Amino acid sequence: MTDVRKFDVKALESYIGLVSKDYHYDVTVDDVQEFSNAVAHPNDLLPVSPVYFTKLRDGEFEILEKMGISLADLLHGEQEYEYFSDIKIGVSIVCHSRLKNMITKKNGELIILEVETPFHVKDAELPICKSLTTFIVRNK
Amino acid sequence: MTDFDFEPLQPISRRDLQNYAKVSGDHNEIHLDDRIARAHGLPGVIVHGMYLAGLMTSRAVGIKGAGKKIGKVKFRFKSMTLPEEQLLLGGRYLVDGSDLALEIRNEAGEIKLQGRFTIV
Repeated sequence: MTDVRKFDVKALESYIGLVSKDYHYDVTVDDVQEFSNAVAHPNDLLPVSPVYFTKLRDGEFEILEKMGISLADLLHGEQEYEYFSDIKIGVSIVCHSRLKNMITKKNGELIILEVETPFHVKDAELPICKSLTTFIVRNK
Repeated sequence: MTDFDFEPLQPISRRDLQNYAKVSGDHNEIHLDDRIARAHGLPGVIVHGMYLAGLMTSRAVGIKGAGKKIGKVKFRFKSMTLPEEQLLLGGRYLVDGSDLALEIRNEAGEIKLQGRFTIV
């Protein structure tokens, strides 16, 4: 019996290289504090969490939406962040995401997507952080 | 060898998941709505992976040493976490003495999240 797959792998592969539009975020005291409060260990002082960048994911969501993949079809497989300088309260962050790669596993039952996102302070040439997100799409 | 003994994390409630969705902007309904989670083959709502990553990173920030920074981090989400599961966080320094390998597991030893922190 042929397995019925929810997604057409060949069609999804055509999106490799897709780049989202630019998204702009103001890093405000309130946003930073409420995020840090949510993830802080009681003994830790955490002004801006290094994983604050997880709030800035609209580029990723845009790519998934264009591919016709809903969030509920996804699991988060891996997440990397590389930091080049500190994120400071009051700056404006600009970022866009790119579908870097896609592979399939288990005879197409799982689709692995890699999405990279460089984060720049507005008008700065070099990024302050780069993220690489690995999504696992359940294709059944 | 364990340099940082595994210590319990505060159990994560459904209300915590709603709060994390609000502050992170991750409104994926598999974290918020049992009905939708079950429709996607899950036992019920599951904890956001990045929520655990945030909790782990807070601990890494606390133990990395004064004047040091996290230069890079890689998280691997190993298994699903349910609300109110009893979780433990611990880990060790890597061979160079500063980088950290942390882990969140449940009481049965099931690994939920692995994080490797490069300290600079």
